[in-house]
Amino acid sequence: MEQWAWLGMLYNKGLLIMSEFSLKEDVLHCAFEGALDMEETKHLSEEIVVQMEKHKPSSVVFDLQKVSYISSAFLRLCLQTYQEIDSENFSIVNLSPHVKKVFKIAGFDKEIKIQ
Amino acid sequence: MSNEETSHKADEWMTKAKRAAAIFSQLDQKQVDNIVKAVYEAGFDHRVELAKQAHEETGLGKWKDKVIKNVIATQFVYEDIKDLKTVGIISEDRRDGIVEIAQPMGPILAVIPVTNPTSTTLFKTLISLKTRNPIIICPHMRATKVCDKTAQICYEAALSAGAPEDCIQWLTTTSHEQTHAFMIHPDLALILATGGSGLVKAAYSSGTPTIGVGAGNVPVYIESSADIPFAVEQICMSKTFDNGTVCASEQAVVVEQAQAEQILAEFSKRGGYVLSHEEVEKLNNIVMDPERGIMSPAVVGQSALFIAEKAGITVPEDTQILLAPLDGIGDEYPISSEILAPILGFYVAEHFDEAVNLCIDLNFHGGMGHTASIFSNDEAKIKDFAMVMNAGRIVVNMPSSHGAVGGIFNTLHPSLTLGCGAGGKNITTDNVTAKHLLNIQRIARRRPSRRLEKFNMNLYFNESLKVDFIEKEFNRNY
Repeated sequence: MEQWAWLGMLYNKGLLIMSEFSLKEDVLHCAFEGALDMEETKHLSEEIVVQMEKHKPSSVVFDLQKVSYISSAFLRLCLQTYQEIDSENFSIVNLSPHVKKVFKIAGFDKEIKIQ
Repeated sequence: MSNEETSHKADEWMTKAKRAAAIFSQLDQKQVDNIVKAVYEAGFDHRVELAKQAHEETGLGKWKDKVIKNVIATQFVYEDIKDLKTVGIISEDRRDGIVEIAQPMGPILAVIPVTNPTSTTLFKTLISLKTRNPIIICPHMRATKVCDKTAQICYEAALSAGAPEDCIQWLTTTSHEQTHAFMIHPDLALILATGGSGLVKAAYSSGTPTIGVGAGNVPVYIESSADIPFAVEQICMSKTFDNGTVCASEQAVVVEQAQAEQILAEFSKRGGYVLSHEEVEKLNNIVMDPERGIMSPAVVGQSALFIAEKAGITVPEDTQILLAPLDGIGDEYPISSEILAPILGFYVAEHFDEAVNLCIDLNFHGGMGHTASIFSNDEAKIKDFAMVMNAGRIVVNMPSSHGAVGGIFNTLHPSLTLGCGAGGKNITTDNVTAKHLLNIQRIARRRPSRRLEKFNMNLYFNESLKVDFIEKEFNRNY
């Protein structure tokens, strides 16, 4: 199975924020990094729309290994993606304990698959 | 709204509150303090506008006194809480091996009374944000517009300082059913219930942890060693403050025979009108709500002149307070109950013991746990008085309304939520503040008990060995 990797470089106030999108076996794998505040999330969600339209994946995975902070906007993005791709096919992986706790308090783990 | 609709709304709002709690939990002390400062400043800057609007909408009290309440709720509360450590590690004791960490509780439902709509909203918002707890404001149905305005001002300020979305939510219309739906919601962490006993009981019965308040029936005892003109001055200031709507305001004055005449004269000099027996009867007819057996909403927060007219009593134009000499306490004496208006019961006792007994009766007649007041320069008597009162606050030589609230006339924590302890069926007698809204965790490091280490534990299994022997052995100095 071929594997394409795209590096999405987003400039946010002069800082280089990395987010990585890759498609493997019809699963869109999105790896985010750093503090996902409102502005950053806006850029990400635009990029995700592009990726989804381009590849029409059957599943989506958010990899939050390098994420340090999430905003309300990012929670909303997770919800939107969960609803769009159909619940079974969305998961959030590699959360650090701090970020995992945030999802727990928000009650997200009751619906979304959180590793 | 149907039951289904009210619980759906509660579900929706609580989901938002949970998310706000989640995001809030990531903020550090500095970020939190910036938010609190911004909300304080915005609330303070709007203090006059909100006070005027509160007076207009509720028809109660006086706008200038409501400004002072707003000042207490913002400036004084802020100063009291601004340096509190409420995030992360708040203390570390290397010797004892205990580290304390402050965690938020979660979404808080703040019920707001009609008597202090803006000040209570400002106060509860500040202490909730300081502890990273999202707040849902539930206004009294007669003050929804001004609470809406207040919440809006706070929310805008909070957001601009980086607070999470939905850290403040507020109802603009309300009903018992809607309040109940929130109270029983599983995701609600705490209810701050400021209101009448019905509300507080409903909150405690909901299954959600609650910090409630109680009713006051504050006796003020002008003891024989008191500075009489000073005492009367302070009481007048307190009783007329916002037309007597502060729950901690004096309800009855108790004096000793020897000073009674002088005290009445001092009251008369300051707009106090002493009612005759017949006039007391007329007043009795209007102060209680016959159906519910509590103070009539028609007199709450109204001026002495208004009330006198309503009762059919002619009083001088400069009357500020109506004084009703009474010779009993109980249901047959309506004025001996809590009436949030410029009306004072007036009792004369022979001596200290009789006076204190009257105060006990007043205190126990619907004011248990709240506040008692004394004017005296006798330290021993002040303590004796305090010992037999069932009151969370005993204020000495100060106006009770301002005194109980804390911060202006004493060093009690400024608060608009005064706990009444067991007497009021509350969980605390404290002036509730930010520290009550935290869950403190403790990391405990290994510090084994040295005495236990050296003790032969097998001795415990010997039934015949009693306390004296074991203690001696346990505490042996090696």
